[in-house]
Parts: sequence; C-alpha cells; structure tokens
Amino acid sequence: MTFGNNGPFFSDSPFWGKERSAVFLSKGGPLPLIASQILNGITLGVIYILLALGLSIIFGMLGIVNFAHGAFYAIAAYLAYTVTLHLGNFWVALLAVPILMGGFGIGIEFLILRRMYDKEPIYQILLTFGIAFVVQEIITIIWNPMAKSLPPQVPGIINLGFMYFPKYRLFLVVLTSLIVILVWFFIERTKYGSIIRAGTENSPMVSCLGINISNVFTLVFGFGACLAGLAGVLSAPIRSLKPYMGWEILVTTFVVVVIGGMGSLSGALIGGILIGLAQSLTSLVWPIGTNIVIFILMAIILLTRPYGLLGRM
Amino acid sequence: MGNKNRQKSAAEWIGTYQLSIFSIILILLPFILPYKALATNIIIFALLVMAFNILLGFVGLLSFCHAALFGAGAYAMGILLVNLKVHLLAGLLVSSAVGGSVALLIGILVIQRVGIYFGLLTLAFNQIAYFVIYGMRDITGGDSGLRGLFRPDLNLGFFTVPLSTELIFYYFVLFWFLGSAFLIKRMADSSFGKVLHGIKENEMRAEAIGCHVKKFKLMAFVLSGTLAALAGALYAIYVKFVSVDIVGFVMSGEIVMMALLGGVSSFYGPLVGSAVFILISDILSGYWERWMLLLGTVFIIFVMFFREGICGGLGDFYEKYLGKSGAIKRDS
Repeated sequence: MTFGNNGPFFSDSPFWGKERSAVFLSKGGPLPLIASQILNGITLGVIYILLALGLSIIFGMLGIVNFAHGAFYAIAAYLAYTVTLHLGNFWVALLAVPILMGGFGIGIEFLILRRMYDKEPIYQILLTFGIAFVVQEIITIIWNPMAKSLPPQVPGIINLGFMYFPKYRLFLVVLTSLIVILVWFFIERTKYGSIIRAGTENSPMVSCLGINISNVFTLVFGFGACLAGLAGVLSAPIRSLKPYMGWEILVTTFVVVVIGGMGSLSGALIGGILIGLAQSLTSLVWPIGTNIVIFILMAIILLTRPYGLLGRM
Repeated sequence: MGNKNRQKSAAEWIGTYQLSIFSIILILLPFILPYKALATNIIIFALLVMAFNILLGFVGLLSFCHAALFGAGAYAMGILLVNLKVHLLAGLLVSSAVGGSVALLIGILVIQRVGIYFGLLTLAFNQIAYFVIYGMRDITGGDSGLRGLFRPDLNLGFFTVPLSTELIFYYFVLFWFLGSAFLIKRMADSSFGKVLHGIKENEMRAEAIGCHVKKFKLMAFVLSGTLAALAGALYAIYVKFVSVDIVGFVMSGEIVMMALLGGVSSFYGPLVGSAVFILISDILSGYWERWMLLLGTVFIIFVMFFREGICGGLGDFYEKYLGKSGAIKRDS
C-alpha cells in the first residue's frame, strides 16, 4: 500500500545537503574544525531550547506531552516563508507569525484540548498526535509537498579568525539568548510567572487561591505554541522546508526535554545545548550517527536518571 | 433470566455465532472487495495492529516502536530470501524469532519505565532502529529500500502451493492471521491474560498481590513483537519490496490510529480498525491525494468522543438498543 506521507523525513538532517557547504568554512586543521562545529552546535541548540521550553512548560503545567509541538514549528516556518516572499520583509514575519501561532495554540486549547484533561494521559497524547497529522496535511495542501527554501536573511559572514560564521546565525544565537533570558525573568521574577510555577507544582491548590487556573492553562499553551512558532520562523532561512519537518524536530525536542527533565526550565537549556553539540560533534566523525547518538543518550539517561538531569518526581 | 426456552433474538444469535460470522466474512473478503490484494493488505495490517493491541488493549502500554518490530520482520524476511534463498516457512519462522529477539532486547529496557516515559523510550528505540536501517546501506539498501525480493511458492515436499496467485496468497496470510488470533484469544482467556488485565487495571495492586509485573509485561512485549514481525515478514513477500518508511515514526502512529479506530478494548477492534483505515485510504487516495487530512480529523473525533472505537461503539449500541450485554466488547 502507498502511504503518501511516509517520506524519508529524517534525511533533511541539518548536517546533510546544502547545510554542509554553508558551515564548513573553517580554515583548516582539526581544532578550528571542532571549534566551528561547537558554534554550529550552539546554533542548533538554541532552536531546540525554544522548542523544549514550550514543550516543557506545557508538560509541567498541563501534564500533556504535546505531540503537535513540531507541527506548530512547521506551520510557522511555512508562514514565515509566505510572508517573506509576498511582503519581501522577513522581520514582519518574525514579529507577526509567533503571535499568530500563540493565538492558534490558544484556540486549540480552548476548543479541543481542555475537554481532555480528565481523560487518561494516553488519549491526551493521541489527541495532540491527531492534531499534528491534520496540521501536516494542511501544510501539504496549502504549500504542496515540494521542498522550499527561503533565501538567507541578514546576508554576509563574519571572520572569527579561525572560521567564517554567517551573520544570520550569530543574530539567531543572540536573539534566542535574549528571549530565553526574558522567559526566565518572566517565569522566575514576575507575579504571573509565580502563578505558572505554582501551577506546575500543584494546580488544584492554585485554583483554591482564587486564580482562574483554566485561563492560565490556555495562556500557557498559547505561550508554548508562540515559542514553537518563533523557533519555526527563525529556522526558516537556514533549513529547507518540508511538510514533515515538524515530526523530525519534534522527536529531537523530546530527546532534549527528556534529557533535561520534563517540566524543568534549566533542564531545557542544558538539554538543548547538549543535544545540539552532540549532533554537530558526532557529524564530524560519524555523519550517519548524528541521530543515533542522541537517542542512545536519551535511552541511557531515561534508564539511569528516570526524571532527566534536572527533573524532579 | 431463567427463561431458557424463549426464542433466541437476532441480537443474541449474532452474539453466539460472532466468531463464525467473522470467519465467514474473512473467507469471503477477497470477493467482496474491489481487488484481492486489498484483502491481503487488510489482513496483514490487522495482524500487526492485533500484535500492537496486546500491549495497548491488554496491558495499557502505548508503544511507539511497533513500526521497528514490523520492520525487523520485513527486513529479516527480505534479507533471508534475497541472500540465502531459504524455504518460505523457515523464513517466516526466523523472521518472527528475529522480531521476538529485538522485542526482548528493547523490552528489557523499556519496561523499566511507566506512563509517558515508556512511550518516549519506545519512540527513542524506534528512531534508533530507523537510523540503523537507514545507515546500513550494504545490507538494507538504505533509503532506496530492499530490492530484488520475490514471493516464493510454498513447497510442502509432496505438494507446491502457488502463492503467486493473489487469492491463494490471501488464504495463506489468513491462515497465519487466524492462527495468531486464536493464540491471542487463548492468551486473553488464560490466567496469563487475566494477570495482564490486572496490571492494566491497577499495576500497584497487581504487584502487591504478588504478580511479577515486569516479567509479565516483558512476556507480553515479546509476544507482541514476535507477531508484529510475522506481519512484517508477510508484508515483505506481499509487496516484494521493503522500504525504510515502514520503520518510520509516522508508521508507528498509523498503527496507533488503526487500533483506536477499531477499539482497543475489543478483540475484533484491530481487524475492524485496519479494515476501515485501509479501505478509506484506498478509496480516497484514488480521488484525493491528501486523504490523511480526513483520516486525521476522524481520528481526533474518535479520541474526543468515541474512545472505545467502532467495536466499542457497536457494543454500546447493541447493549442500549437490543438489551443484551456487550457481546462484541471483550470487557462487559
């Protein structure tokens, strides 16, 4: 039988194809090569961090493993592609698409997800899984299955002495770091953040304190979708867009979140960088192994530290 | 209630003879459907989903690595046939054993965790399997798939069964399907099945009353993997080609979809689920390439409103309007 959507969706690894020529500009010798791969690993890692933060907050608060997270990322990347192509301005997309995705997430939580909180976790997983399938098909219908790519935004490269680094990637790392600091500040230092943290610990208690917890749930899910959207827009110019790109990154994000600890914010940071580095450094010695290594890492950590490096019970 | 002499109603008649009715439908299936290969396809996937449902339906474990186990059987069968030209039955046997061994290997590790962590671990192992197969180009053909496969005739020594005839091949597959279904039915009714059900209902209590929960889970996992690999081996000689896509994550998801559509707590659920899934996809894919959109939407509706699936829904309907306790549902 023909499963039309079963393309080899992992062949678009960031280390194969066009990516390689763009990043392997080191000036020779093994050390610069390793240094440049570390930079590339960090570039990858910050995208994972954005996704893992959202996934982790949603899990911590709602107790749901959101299988649609990759689909949010993919649809945002495609929206960024269309907006940039039609308006000729990537920055409009960078601002508007994450907000749009936040609204999309709020809509999904409000219409569908909140009916499932009292059901078994298996059905919550299956529901988000179904949403991801539908979103992927909608992407294919709107944008057709052909791979697309956005021309590089922020053209030019910087000479770092030992290698040339594309300016856009530098911008990506700086912007994401700023956003991560903002998110951390929001969650750890503001009143709303403390509600979220308290909700992660014990949501019935928060609701007893007179806070409308179901609104908080909706906003948290929207916020997670917004971060996924941001990751999608930011990676649109450096990755080729395919309808099933969401599944690929979803599975990697699971690895990040599981390694860091489900529901732990600092875990998402450490996990993201760790996986980004593991992938980029493995690609130096064993290109096919970039994806095997991370899953072996995940299995080892799950079996030895059940709740991840920084997770709690 | 005590009224033994009353006339049997139609509903009761269906309840008593449901196994026979299903068998007759299965025997006539290739003549009902538009083409015979479609029936074979349905039965192969029904076997796979039935194997998967040993875990989800009996033990309550959601596995995302059944694509890998299915693929293990398919690749084992393909490699045995292409390189060693083994006897068909030996090939099926060895492929199932390979699937069982892979399941044992993965199972020992994944049963250490419960809930979503079990699911994510199985997902990780599915991905490892995918990339290992993808990377071992020399043996598996990598992303261009395993080529050069053929469907050998079944040589029984005194008699050769021509499996190249689609209809005969259907009955060959049906034989394995019914054998597995019988095995699972016997297992469900045995004390082993009762323990699995106990684990699904309340794992802590099962442990407390002295069941070795992990051992039982592992046994269920290995049985499930063996049958999934058998389905894979049959699939390999059915399509005469093994693509790396059948090991992918999306395939694992489609197995889950079929199981849920049919109904996870029903014995006939996997068969009904895979039949509906494959029929819809076969009919729709002729008209519209993006048929998965419709199936995905139907899936969401089922998860939200009909978690018991088609069979569970029929059972409820049966109970409500015909006044008989769920004959189609396994759990009344």
